[in-house]
Amino acid sequence: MNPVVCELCPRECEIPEGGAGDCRVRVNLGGKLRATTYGRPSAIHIDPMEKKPLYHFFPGSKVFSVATAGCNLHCLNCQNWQLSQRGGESMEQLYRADPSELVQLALDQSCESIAYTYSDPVVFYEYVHDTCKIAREAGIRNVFITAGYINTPPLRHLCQFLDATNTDLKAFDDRFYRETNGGTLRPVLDALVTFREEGVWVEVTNLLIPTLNDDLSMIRRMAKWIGRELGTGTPLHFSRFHPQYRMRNLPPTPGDTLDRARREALDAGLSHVYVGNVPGHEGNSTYCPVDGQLLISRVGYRITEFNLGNDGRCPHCGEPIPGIWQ
Amino acid sequence: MRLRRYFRHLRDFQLLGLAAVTLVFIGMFLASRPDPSEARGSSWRKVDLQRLQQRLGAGDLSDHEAVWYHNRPETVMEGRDRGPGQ
Repeated sequence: MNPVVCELCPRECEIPEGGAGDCRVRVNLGGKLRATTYGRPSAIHIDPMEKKPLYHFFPGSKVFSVATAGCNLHCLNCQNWQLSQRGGESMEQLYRADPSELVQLALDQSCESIAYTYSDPVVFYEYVHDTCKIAREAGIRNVFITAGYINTPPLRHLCQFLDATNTDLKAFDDRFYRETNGGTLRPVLDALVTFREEGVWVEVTNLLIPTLNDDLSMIRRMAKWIGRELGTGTPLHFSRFHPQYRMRNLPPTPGDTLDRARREALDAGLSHVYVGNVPGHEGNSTYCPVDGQLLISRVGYRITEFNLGNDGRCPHCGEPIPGIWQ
Repeated sequence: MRLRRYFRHLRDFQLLGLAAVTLVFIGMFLASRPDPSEARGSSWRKVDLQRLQQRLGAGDLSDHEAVWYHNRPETVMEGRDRGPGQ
């Protein structure tokens, strides 16, 4: 039967010959594990960096975004389920783009970064790895948009090629992970710490789902943990939930909930806490944590005002704002 | 006392007892089931192998060998590193 054990993510699937891992795209053929979506993306797009969201990493720049089918989590509220919850063999859209071709496409489109995103890039690890190497040689930055459900050794190896990550911390609650995402919390926290240790720029997103993960005491604990383990300058994005996929029974996150969560995280010591999926909200913008001056004004993904100094400091009080600005 | 009298009128203590025992067993069964997300190595999936082979043959998909895996039982693949570049 030649079973293999995938060591990439905490599931560590034992896969018999002819079977796939839980992610659907890593398949055991003849006793060898195949990454079937290597060089076969199903989604390619050019986005603003703010869409990732990364607010403290080359703001306003264009990012070449790529994804393949498959995912190692199964979130009931997945917004890309048509991509993430399918195997490669059932995809209608499969482009052919080897790593070097992908980098060339990004260069042709004048993109300064490539984002591995939409589904979870953990499941197309080899494609990410090889593309990252070529991209870096070509002067293109690599951005990893992930849920962070990956084992530490492969992540640490990949980090040498990564410049930034937005990692989805879905809740500060293991039970939530088990019931809503089909995963566990601990590996995600470990991944966040690994990113920090390896010098990758980290921003964190937390999608607030009414009644499921919007408890203020949990949000406070999460913010405290981020401040302690990743640094108080780590940007935290609270994102508004919209009912979709298998979670249509709950309403969109009320504005009050987002406001309270933001206030709680700021009170817990974080300096840069944002509100996403609510265009025009004051929480879209960056303020100096010392004097409260507006530094970067955003409406949705668009930058409408940029007052940050070239040295990444507040022009009024000189406070350094953490980030990679240019 | 009033409650006992009520149940005596129903004359189905045995039935209630049976239902309670059944519920206890159901509860114990549910509690003893391993959480699929916790069970390592168990969460593989069946794939439409014929379709997969067709799309591999057509070049729609890739047969690129993955890294970060080992064969079962614990025999590391000959001549292959466990991680890229290591």
